Amino acid sequence: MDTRAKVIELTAAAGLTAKTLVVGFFDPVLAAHVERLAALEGPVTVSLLDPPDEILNARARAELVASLASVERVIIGDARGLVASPQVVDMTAADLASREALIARIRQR
Amino acid sequence: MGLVHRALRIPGRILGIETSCDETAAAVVESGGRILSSTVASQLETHGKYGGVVPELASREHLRAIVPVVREAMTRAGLGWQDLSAIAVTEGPGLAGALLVGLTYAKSLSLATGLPLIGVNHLEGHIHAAVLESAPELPALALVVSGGHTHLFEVSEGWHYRLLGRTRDDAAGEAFDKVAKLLGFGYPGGPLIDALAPYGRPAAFANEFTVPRIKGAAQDYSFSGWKTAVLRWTEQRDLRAEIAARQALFARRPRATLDEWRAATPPETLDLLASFQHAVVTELLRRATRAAEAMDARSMIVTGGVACNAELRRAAAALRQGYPVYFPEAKLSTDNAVMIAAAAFPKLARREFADLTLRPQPNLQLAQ
Repeated sequence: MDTRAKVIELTAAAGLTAKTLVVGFFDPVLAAHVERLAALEGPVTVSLLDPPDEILNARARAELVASLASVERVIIGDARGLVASPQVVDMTAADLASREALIARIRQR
Repeated sequence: MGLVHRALRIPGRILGIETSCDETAAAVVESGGRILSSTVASQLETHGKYGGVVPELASREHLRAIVPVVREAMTRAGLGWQDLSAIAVTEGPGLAGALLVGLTYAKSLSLATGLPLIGVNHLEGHIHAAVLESAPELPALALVVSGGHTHLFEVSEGWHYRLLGRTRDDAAGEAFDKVAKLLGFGYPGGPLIDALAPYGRPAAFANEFTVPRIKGAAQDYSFSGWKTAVLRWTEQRDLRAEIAARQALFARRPRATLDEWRAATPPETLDLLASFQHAVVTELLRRATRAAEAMDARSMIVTGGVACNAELRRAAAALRQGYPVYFPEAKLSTDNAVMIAAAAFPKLARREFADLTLRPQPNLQLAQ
């Protein structure tokens, strides 16, 4: 399938339901993300936020996350309150920390 | 009259896939040289703000683009998998993570469709890009010059290669980009220097760029000293304000026009750019013609991203050494997949197929 079809805009998110809603930046997607998402109870919907000073643009990040088998759909924007989900996982703080670590490693080269 | 090689005559259709650096590309080529489709997704905007290719981002962008790019190449060619003879993919040299994306996809396609897989050396691809629709007399001297490579090869009958010379440090295209960055121009700086150089005087600072003497290998290049020469030149003058103004222009307008860049570049700096470019072009062709003479070449091939440089094209075309000089057309000079498919045809004819153990080889050599 064309996994880009899993990416939807915020305007189309109202009324959707998900077993687990994950909120994060995914800037960029790292191996740890893949493991963490796969371990969650699915189907997983990802709400993709914009970090300060993004590395990759939102569309690029959304398509990468959508290509993962454990992800049912990716909503570009803050879908908290729009998508009904019994479980919300906030990855934003962890995302910022792993992004800083990646940038530091690249700068060290 | 030397032997004439005609890759054009080899029947079949090959899907080529190239992901060695910062372009995701796919193409379908028929009968050795007829282009049925060619799709290239560039990552320039992703890497531009960092002043160079960031490998971690390149592999992610390849991952995102590979499926749509291959699909588009097949759709534009109007073909299905059953119409193909083989799948060719760049195995190296290049960035490991970037190569891995194209290789994994090509291997999966080969496994799913049953089509044979052909591993292609990126440098051999560049050489084939210049001779797609022509049949150069061999042996030929090939100058492969880009942001990652500066090599001189002897190309003999049957597409056999011998390395005659290479850069000891920076590739020529890398030197262009680094000099541009040093002076506050955007990335990639090579095309911009090419566009600005005609407004300067190439003799003005010729003395800054003396040809380095390299012990032991008369046909090797070295460009890193000239980057230092430019740095020294800027330090001797107070260019901080001028450089900062250009950096600000690039930050504000990543796609500034030539007129905007000219307005931000005083005549003396234009003279430096012209002198630098002239020195690089002269040096590239000096060693290439010397190598061609030594091997009694019947033609010369100039290829790779820097083959887009207008002064290099003009100077090479005007060599008049008694043999023809071949260039790829501009859009086939930079990375593309047409060249990968084209280079795979002689391997298809020889049934030189790879199996699923094919791995990325970041430091793959074309010849010793």
